[in-house]
Amino acid sequence: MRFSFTTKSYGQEIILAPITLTLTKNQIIVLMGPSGSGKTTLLKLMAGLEKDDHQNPNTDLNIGMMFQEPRLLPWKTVQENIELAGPINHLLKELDLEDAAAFYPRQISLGMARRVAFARALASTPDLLLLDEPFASLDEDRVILMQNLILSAKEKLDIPIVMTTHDRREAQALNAKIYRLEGRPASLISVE
Amino acid sequence: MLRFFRLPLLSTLLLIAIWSGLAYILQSRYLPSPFEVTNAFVAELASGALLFHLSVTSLRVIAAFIIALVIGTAIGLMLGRSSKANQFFDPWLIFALNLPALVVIVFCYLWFGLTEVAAIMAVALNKIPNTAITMREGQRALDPLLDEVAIIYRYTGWRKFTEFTLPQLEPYLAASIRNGLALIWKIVLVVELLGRSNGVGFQINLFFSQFDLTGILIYTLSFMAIVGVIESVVIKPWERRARAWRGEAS
Repeated sequence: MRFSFTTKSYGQEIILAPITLTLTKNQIIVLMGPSGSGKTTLLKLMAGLEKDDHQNPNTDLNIGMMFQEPRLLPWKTVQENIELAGPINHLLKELDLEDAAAFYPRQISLGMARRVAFARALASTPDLLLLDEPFASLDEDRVILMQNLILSAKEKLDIPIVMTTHDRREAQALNAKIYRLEGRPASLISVE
Repeated sequence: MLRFFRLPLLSTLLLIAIWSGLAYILQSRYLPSPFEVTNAFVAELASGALLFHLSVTSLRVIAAFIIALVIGTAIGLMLGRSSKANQFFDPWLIFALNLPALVVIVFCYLWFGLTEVAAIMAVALNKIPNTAITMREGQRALDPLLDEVAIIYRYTGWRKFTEFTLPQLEPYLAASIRNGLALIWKIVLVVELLGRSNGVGFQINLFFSQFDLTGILIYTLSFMAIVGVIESVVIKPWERRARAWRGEAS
């Protein structure tokens, strides 16, 4: 799976330099970089939510995406939010959400909302999973839980996972290939 | 349950008591007592006239209400989505909003004759600008972040509208429906008074020409009761269901 983008600008400012990224199955890629470096923009380009400066066409891939905020539909229950993306199968059980299935998003914690958003991304049986800051605002226990969920999804689905994070330790714990977005316009630099 | 209704019940009984007292003191044909109104109500009901005129007016209210809601919502959503369209049509909307209901009714009757279509059109035209403005605000308040969720999970067209857009518009739709019902039934009576030969408005005009306040009260109170029933049996339960996810009491 190969993504190739030309530059990406907002107004006059070029945010991203041309970027090519090759992904293989059963691989986790972590994008690191300071706030505003273009990590989320790159994920959105891959998801087809944004176009590069040459209006590269949106992807035909089936994408599962977890945004920085859970972005659950507040008028749907936990179960309905997951089913929005596809069949729920065993996801409620696997992500320990069975007891919360009938709750509305306002009734659950942020950590649980993140898991629901993750379950929704998995329910779409994606070809590629994109996770934007999946550990942000989670306490240590919840970070470990989320890391385990990501590793388990990688094994089961046998698909590439691309995620952004600020924390290098989190990336290392996932045994991921790490890239840094550096400079302005930002280029993708492999970190070994 | 009884406790919930106790205060409204007491207040209604007090109102009837004041009305009875005034009618007893004044002894005037221009203020019939509740007893006289009740007797006349039973007679009008038994003759079938009351039910006929109430149902004719109700049908006009429903028809005008649905037309105004559908067209007003479509216009409002279009204006909310496109700032250019909004800039272009905003003067039209302000003009329509400030046009007196009576003028719209007279013009409709003059252009299209004293017909049923003209009557319903006149009522709907009066309500469309209000609905359009409310729904325009609803469209503007849609959460763009949820749009990205819709794109990722491939929700487009009607599916996107029902799953993502409509639930966000529900508070605005509820406001439109609630205000619409209150406004429309009042305009329908004027339309009937001016150009129809049946309906509650026509009957009120008839009783007015005969100085028959009892008749006017029978029809007014009966129709108010119908609007009240629609509000409590249809609109309130729907609002309650639509608000369940917010955890709000209705």
